Amino acid sequence: MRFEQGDGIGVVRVNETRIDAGVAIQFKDEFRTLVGDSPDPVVLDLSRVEFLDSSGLGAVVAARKLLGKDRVMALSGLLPAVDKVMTLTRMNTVFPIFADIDAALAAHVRDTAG
Amino acid sequence: MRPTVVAFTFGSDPAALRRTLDRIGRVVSDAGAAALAGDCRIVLAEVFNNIAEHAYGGAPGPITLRLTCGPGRLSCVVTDRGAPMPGFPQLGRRFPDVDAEKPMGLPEGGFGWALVRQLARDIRYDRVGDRNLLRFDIR
Repeated sequence: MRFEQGDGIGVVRVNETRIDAGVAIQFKDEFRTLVGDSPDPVVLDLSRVEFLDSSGLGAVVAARKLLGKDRVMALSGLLPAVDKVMTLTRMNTVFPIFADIDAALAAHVRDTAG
Repeated sequence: MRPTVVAFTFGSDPAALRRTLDRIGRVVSDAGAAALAGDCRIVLAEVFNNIAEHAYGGAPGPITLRLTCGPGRLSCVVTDRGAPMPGFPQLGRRFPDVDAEKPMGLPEGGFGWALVRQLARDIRYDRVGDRNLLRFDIR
């Protein structure tokens, strides 16, 4: 997992190809370590993640909660299997979802400009 | 194409489950059912995790899968020797409530069996002697 702090928004790139029961705890710990203190909204880029199970989904939700209620977490780069799990669980109604990091950053610029 | 029947036996630790899910994906694709490979992986991952966590309570134990791949249909029989599965008929009947307005109250669990119910058909569970037998189709 890699964190890039940008202009009023952070980007977390997930390097794992799977977020499943085997790595869910590690995922939460790394996320907390990387973004815990930043006040900015976060884009979680999942473009390398080919598979997400319910434990992995729980880890993404836990990461969202770590940000607190006033910080937004958006998702980008959902591959088909991940998109399907998000849709079936209706988590796609919770997270703003973007095609890629650039689209998420562009939306952030629009929001803060307006 | 005649149905392909494959048996897998593997341990319930996360590394073995990952390897097995990868192997199953290749078998499903090679058998001409690539379109079902994604749903198959989601369902089997949840079923296997459930066995690892609840039937075996986190201790290692053997799992067997008998997979029949036909055109447009996968039939699965999953067997383990762990504790019986309580409350099966109700498991996953309701999805956890997801309220976008209350992010701090979002559920972090309870989605596993709900996903299985959405993607698998004709789910049957039987306790036979000291084994759990779970049967379902993916179409």
